[in-house]
Amino acid sequence: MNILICDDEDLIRKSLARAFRASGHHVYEAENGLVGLQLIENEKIDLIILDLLMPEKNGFDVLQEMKMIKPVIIISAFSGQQEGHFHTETYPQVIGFLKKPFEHLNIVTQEMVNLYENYIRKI
Amino acid sequence: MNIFIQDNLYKAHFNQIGDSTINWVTYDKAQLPTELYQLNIQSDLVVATDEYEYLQELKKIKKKILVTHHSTVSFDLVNVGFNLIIQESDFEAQFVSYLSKEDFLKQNQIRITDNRFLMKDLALNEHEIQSLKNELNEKKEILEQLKYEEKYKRAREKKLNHILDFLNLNHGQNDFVENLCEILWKEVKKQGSFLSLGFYISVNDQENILITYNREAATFFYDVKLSFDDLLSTTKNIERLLNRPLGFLFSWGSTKFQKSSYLFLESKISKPDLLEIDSYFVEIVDLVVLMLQRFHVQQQVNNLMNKWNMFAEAYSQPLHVVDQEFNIVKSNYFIHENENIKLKCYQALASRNSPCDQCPVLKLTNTDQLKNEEKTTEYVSFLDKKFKANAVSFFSDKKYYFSFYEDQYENDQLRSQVILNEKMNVIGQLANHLAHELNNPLTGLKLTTEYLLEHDSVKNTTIQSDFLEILKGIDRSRNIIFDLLHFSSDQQSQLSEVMIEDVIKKTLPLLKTMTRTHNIFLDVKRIPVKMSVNQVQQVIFNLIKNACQAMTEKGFIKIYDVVSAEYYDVYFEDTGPGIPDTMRSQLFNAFTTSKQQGEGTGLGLFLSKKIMNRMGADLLHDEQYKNGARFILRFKKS
Repeated sequence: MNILICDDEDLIRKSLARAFRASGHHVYEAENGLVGLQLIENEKIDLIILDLLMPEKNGFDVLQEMKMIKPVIIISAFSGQQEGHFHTETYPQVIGFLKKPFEHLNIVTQEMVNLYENYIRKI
Repeated sequence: MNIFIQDNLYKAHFNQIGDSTINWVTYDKAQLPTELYQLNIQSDLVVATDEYEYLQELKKIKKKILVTHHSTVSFDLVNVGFNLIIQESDFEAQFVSYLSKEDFLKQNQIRITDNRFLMKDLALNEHEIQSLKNELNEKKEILEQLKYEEKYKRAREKKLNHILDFLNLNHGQNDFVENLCEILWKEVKKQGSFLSLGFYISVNDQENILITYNREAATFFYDVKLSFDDLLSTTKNIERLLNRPLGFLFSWGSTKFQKSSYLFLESKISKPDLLEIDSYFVEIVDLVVLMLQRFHVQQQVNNLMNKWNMFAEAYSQPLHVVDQEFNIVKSNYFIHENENIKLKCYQALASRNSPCDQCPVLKLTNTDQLKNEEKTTEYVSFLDKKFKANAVSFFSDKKYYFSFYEDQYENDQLRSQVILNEKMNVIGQLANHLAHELNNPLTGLKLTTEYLLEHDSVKNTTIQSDFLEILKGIDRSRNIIFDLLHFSSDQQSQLSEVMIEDVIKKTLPLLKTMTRTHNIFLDVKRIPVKMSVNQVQQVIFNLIKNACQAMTEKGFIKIYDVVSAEYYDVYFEDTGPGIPDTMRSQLFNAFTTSKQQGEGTGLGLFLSKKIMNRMGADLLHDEQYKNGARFILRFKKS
């Protein structure tokens, strides 16, 4: 599976990438929304893991401007109550929302894979 | 023998007539004949000139002579039927001959002297008797009239006395106006069909009162501008106020005390018989108006006194009015049981024998005596308290001082509370920002550390435990941020009616591992309370968690409720060591914790209280309870 991880926080991006790579996935990394959009356009990507608050272009920009519709899992440090502001009707490609900080690296990567598999199964 | 003669003739010809049996009655040419008759003298002969203005009236007189200086007489005069018409130039000769021809000059008739009723002669003729009889009858009538008037006057006096007594006795009472209206209504009712009565009283140029009485109750309207000069527009105005059509208005104005004060009646008919009411009202209107004005002023004074009393009662700190000798005139801390006992303010308030050192009144008395309304503020101490004392001087019958005291300690407390609130707000905003900013790198750190822990080069080495310590540190930071985020979020949640039992039962499973070593007794009534379930759950979670953490050995947690008139209280008791004395005062402040570093953030109770306050409830700590800690969730009864 080709996964794009789009997060400006190096540590998060790298550790997630390492964990996914360790379990045999191919990972693209983007440190902001602009790079992320370019990668979505140029590479064959199955799943996007997207932070919301980023420099250059933020997560909402990416969601709006991506031409190829790909499943997206949002990761954000927004506190719980703000989740409600995120309308899944507006962004049908969003298949999951994971709050930072995460429980455990292995758990969170497994969760992401599960979300993707559930999504694929539905289709 | 009476001869009526016009005075100018008499003057010209008869200054002195020889025959004393003739009574000469002179009259003016402009005198009405009826007036002549009223003299009660039967005329035997009337002598008139043609200047007499009522010649036609003489038709009824039997014997009459016209004296004229005209050579001919008009037909009108002939029509009157004079016995003789004499040319003035020839008057004396003709007149004397007429008198002798008609036997006027014979000396055998009655003689009338100054007293017309004294009869010298028995030879009364029928005329005289008749005239005396008439006179008697007239006198009788006059007497009857006088008697009636006397009776009427007495009745009126009685009525007046009645209302005067009433006014004197009742003017101080609350239902004075109603009673007055009732009394007036009784009088009015006797006189005809009236619908209502009322008063319009001008207290001063600005203040007017309209009072209407509809046989049942008096209604007051204040500050109504009416002009009774124009009854039509007044009627319309009152109609608008009463919200009903009005009959015909009749008003009586007070002339003595207030020009624009009136008593008015509403009548069914346009022309009622007002004769008696009129005389009655004219006499009482001044007094009634005066009394109503007095009543109004008295009421206003009463209101002011009530206001003062309420105000003084409501002010929790001492306040008083004293005179120049510091005698208490009025205060909110000392009740005058005996008016004669004069107590000084420093005796009653500060238990001293001399005025306080920094007494503001003392400051004012030292300044200009003549100046009115001066004020000053000083700081005085008594009863181990520091007060900010404010004093104002004013002058009524003599100089008085109004002073009130503010407890400085309480003020300071309030101020620090305000500052603290302000501080917490800023911290809240900062925390919100910080939490979001810190979450990102923390997540990265956590993920990386977790990754490293899985790495082969780390596994089963001494570094592994170091990484585990790092992970613990990260988790602690995460918890603090989580609590801070909750604290700063001001979300309003929906209140719903829920049984507290259900909420507790839902919360307990979350605490399973903690409560396993302790016994929990739950005994609450099934009373629905208005609350936000999630938030109360959070508070209960905190309270039980705290209790469990406080009890190092196996203990009990008792949860029960107490219902009082105002509140619904839920008690949480544990058998732990209780809250240390040093911590009590800041128990509900942020960052207060008795737990080991790392176990608690010090935000739990602070946030819990905040959450409860937000939904109109409260979280209290019972300081009296000594067998552990007791917290009370207090809901207001709906």
